[in-house]
Amino acid sequence: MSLEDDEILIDELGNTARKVMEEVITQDLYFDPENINSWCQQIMDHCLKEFGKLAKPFKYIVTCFIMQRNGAGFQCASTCFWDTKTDGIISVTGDFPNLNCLVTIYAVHV
Amino acid sequence: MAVPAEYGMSSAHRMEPRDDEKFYPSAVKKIVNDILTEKLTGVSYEDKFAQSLALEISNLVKIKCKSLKMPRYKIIVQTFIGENLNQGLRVASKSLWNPKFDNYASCSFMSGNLFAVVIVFGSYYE
Repeated sequence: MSLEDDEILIDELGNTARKVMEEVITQDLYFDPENINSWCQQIMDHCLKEFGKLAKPFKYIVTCFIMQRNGAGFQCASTCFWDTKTDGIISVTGDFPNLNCLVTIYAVHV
Repeated sequence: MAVPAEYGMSSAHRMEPRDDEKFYPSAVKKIVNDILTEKLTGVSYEDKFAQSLALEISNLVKIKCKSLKMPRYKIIVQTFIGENLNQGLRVASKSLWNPKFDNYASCSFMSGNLFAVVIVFGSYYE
């Protein structure tokens, strides 16, 4: 797989993740400990299904972080030991009135 | 603090890692636990320092993991550091990989007004 294919791939992944996130988490959702797990699972399942359909020689890791908005701050950092030419990362944040959502996708070339 | 990889791994004839060269979550979890307790005990959340603290922890974990015997593994470390104001939150991850050799280890830490979650993913490169 060439570098160009990988670059297109990363943007595609990001757009898919954003679409899925906005489908699952609507503007009026409040943090709900009973459903939070299923929201996370839905986002990740949809994302991985769409990525699998692309049929590219990549392994995908999706992490989903959903937090109740009450003024608390948070930071996220990632470091990777991989081949910078073929592997990539993209993270997508969603700003909803009552929730903070962060979806990070790592695409690792096989 | 990025070190570009000037060397790459070429394909090997081995299809799978040897038993002593696999990603063992228990060993990685111990490393992460030690680093979190050392770096975060007695620390309180401050916006100015949280970003560099998160990066520092990620880098440390990655460096320590490289010292474990996992020669053909690509390692990804993700660190979340946040302020604890009794809010609810959930961290989840899902992967599309080879479950026989790829694995992950996660560890969380909470004290005072700070919480931290570290996830380490190891993916075998054939």
